[in-house]
Amino acid sequence: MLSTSASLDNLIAQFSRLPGIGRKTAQRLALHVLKLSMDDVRLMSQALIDVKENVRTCSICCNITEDDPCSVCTSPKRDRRIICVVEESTDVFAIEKTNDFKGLYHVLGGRLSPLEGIGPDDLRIPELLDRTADGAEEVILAMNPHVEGEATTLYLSKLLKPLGVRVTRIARGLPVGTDLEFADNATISRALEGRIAV
Amino acid sequence: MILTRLRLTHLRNHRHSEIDCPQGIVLLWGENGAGKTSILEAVSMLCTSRSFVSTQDRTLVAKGEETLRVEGAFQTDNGVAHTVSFAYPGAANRKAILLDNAPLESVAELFGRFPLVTLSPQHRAITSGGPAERRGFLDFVVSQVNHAYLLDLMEYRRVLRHRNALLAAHERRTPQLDAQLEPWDSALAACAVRIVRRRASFITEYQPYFIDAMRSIVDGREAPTFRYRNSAEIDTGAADAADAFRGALERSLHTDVRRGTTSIGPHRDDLDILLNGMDVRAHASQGQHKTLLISLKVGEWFFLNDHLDERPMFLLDDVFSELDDARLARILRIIPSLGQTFITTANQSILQHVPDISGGKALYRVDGGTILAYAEAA
Repeated sequence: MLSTSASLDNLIAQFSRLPGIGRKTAQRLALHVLKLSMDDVRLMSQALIDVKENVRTCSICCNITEDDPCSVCTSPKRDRRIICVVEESTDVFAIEKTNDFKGLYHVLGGRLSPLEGIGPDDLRIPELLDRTADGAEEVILAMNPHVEGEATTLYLSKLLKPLGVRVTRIARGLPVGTDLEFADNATISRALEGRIAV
Repeated sequence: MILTRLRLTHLRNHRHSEIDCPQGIVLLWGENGAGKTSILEAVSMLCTSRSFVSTQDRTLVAKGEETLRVEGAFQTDNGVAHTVSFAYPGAANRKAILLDNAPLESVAELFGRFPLVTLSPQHRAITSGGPAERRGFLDFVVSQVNHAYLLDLMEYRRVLRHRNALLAAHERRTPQLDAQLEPWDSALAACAVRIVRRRASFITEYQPYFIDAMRSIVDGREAPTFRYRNSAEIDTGAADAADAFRGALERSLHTDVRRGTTSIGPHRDDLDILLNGMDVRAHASQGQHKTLLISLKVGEWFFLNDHLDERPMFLLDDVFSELDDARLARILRIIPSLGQTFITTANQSILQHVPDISGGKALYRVDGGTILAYAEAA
């Protein structure tokens, strides 16, 4: 504790609660806030309140949005027959940045991880099944390539296939711009496994 | 690979110690508790990310100090210099390892690059103790020559922990549990089959090295053999081995749910060591155990030397004190054919028996956590 100011200590404590922020960084941030103009501080605190008041999850795809349903779900330009399933909203941002995907999304809100006590009931799976049954032709599973993501992919594919929909998964392999010689063995093995005809 | 210089700070009873290492033999002589083994531990921490004595890094920090640091300068067989440093605690209270001043992304990056064989009293349990010790030996050697094996092992352990968490959270078998287990079982089966296949082929390749080493240490025609005991009792060589493994998981599921843990798989397999067809755990004498352990390790050195690009280093921790003269003489005869060798002993009379070799020999006296130059012979 700096303990010369209770307000400063309180701000440091609040910053420390953020992910990735240690005690020292929190102190630096708090001292920085102290140097800001009153207007800047008002803008910042208003931004924090706005984000809580205005942002909600889309009742269709579960992505974060200000309007419900979200702009992707209501867009007439999107292909409603394809649903891309991702773990978190940040994955939607990543895919949207490519401008290559014109279908809809479904944000699961995590992945299966019994070690952390996360089971199927903690993910938005019933919503996905309802949407799939409601006229989707393809469901793309875009989980992260670690063991938990793999297990989630397998679990979902078991549930989705009986619905008569085409179930696909995104490819795993070499990152673009990386040389083969620098790739790790697991990546190369997966890339060989997933080779395609040219 | 050789270590050219080693520096220890706040490691066990060493405050600050530093030694130069010739490419031949480094002899460390001193009383019990002087800090000889800590020097070998330091080499092990640099090459394998951990001590062969203690699995808890916390216990390695000198009393009253906060941070330990070990730094080593290495040279490859082609003369390329590398540095490795090990500090504990680093960020987030974990160990921090730097290779050529850059942080490692994973300790897996060290494996096989700084190959090392260690023979210490700690390893006795490999021939006489429980299966975990032998699996540890197996996994350690195979991981050094096969990176994919190490990755499979890490993935297997992670999947296993998830599966066990699921089992522990359920009192009995239900359709929901079956459905939730399925993806983990399938991942576990795929990894398990790759691991057991890799272990099996390693055992076949390694066995001749073990036999050769044994014959160079004891007279006679005793030929040790291995027998891998597969807890799933399936033929992992078969094309449908993963399905067979899942069948075995299914058969043990009732037991597994009751116990809240997975009872079959590579984490429960064992490697029997047989001498004249008899399991050495029950039938070997003390002397035979010693010889078997030394043979396992000398065999490991020659195996790694043939399968890696770098000559392994060898740590011999207090090995000579328990040997009779005949065995001692034979082992001393083998040492010059091994790579850079670090030897600790409390017995001063051993010193004169250690052969002069072309790579040079450095003799240090270790006393109360300090290292003193004793003499140096070219």
